Amino acid sequence: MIPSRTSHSSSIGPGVVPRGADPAYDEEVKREYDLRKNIPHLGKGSKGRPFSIDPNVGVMTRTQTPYVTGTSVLAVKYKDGVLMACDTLACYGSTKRYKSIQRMKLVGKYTVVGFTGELSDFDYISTLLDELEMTDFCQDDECPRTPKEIYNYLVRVMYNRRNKFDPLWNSLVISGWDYVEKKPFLGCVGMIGQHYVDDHVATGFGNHLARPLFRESWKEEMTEQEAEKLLKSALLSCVMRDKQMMNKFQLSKITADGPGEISEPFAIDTRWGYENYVNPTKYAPGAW
Amino acid sequence: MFRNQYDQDVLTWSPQGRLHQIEYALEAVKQGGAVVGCKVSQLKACNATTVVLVTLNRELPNQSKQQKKIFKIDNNIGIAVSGLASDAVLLTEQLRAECTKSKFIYGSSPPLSQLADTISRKLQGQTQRSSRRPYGVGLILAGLDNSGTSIFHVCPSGNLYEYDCFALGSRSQASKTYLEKYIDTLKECSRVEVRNFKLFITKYDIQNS
Repeated sequence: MIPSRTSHSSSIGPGVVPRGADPAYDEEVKREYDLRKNIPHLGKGSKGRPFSIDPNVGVMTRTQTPYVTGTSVLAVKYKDGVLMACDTLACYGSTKRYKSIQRMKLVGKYTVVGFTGELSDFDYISTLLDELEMTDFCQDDECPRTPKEIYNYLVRVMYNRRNKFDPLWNSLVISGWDYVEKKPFLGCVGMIGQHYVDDHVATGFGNHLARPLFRESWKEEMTEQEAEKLLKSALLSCVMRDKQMMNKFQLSKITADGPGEISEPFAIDTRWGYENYVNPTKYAPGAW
Repeated sequence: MFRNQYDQDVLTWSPQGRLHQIEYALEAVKQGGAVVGCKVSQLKACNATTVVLVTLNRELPNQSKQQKKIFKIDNNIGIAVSGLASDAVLLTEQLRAECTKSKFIYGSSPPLSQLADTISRKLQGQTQRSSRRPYGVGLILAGLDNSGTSIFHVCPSGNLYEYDCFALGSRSQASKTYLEKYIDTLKECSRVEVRNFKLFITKYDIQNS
């Protein structure tokens, strides 16, 4: 018996009907097919039929590349809390387009979330985090969401989006003070749902430029000054090597005492007076 | 007294502004065996860190197992039920599902007040549909979360009450009186003494039955 496609609800798309069984349906498929001719894996001779959840929408596009992006976020735990630092730049490709973006967000009293990657996706994540804050407020008990719970929640969000082949193109750093266990918390979630908790975390280029510095110099029970110094040296390394970073940073601090604070933007001292930069092409082959 | 024309279904108000079906459901709870919940402390001179649930199970023929009136919802949360046992089973399933959901999304059990809110909302939902009836079971929801110990009393009407100690079910008035008298000492006694108190409470119930 020829499988009839009326046995499927139209909202879940076309059913599997063998070619030749229903000429009218074949016509329809061919028409849809021609729309997607240039997609390599759906080319000529492909036995695959295009599948879409909503046949009226046509070809569904997923997030393929990020457009407006933020670079690295760096964070370290110290004795009484967590420090997080990032610049205030959102790049449009190579262009340093938006120079006053706050790339960290305070969630409740005890958590700060920072992002690398697509700005608009983080905007959406911000909306979700606002909703979390709102439900905490409405609940009106003495247990707002701990940073660990917010971290777990974001892991679920990122992983679910990845499963739909429509990721939120962000790497998130979640830092905060766990008022239950009375310790600082620091974790990182990536766009495919990979997540880990660590004493020092960096996303984006910071992974390559800052993490080695952290591994070398981080120690247990650092004071706030030591932690800030470590962060700033890592920021220096990042800003001097990452072309998508600018010398305008914000630092956020979370401790047991109360609401996290995000500092005013500041710059760090960079040194460009290296001898080889004076006449960079002096020893380059072919230069004069 | 119970036969009036406004009690046919839960959607009909009486002229006195009462929903009789819900009140009848509350009667069902009163038919169940006595159940007591109380906050106590493990160490003297400490904030209450434990909750105790005690139930007086009905006498059943020798061949049958003890009736189950205390259910574990999570490692730190439990309930004691009084009323229709089958309704109780359904509610424990829903409570456990809520806990599992919270553990999956947030990595930890829900705070007790949130759990109590969710379940009381479900109970209220049953009272506002023509095709449903109220659950005939009252719960004492007790547990330990980040804000300390809590005891909640959940009614078939969907009402939620928070207590330091509470008793539910048939002939529980004696336990209530006892608890009221001794609540301050109960809050401070050690584990061994609690056991003695437990027996006292149930003894009161049996004495007055």
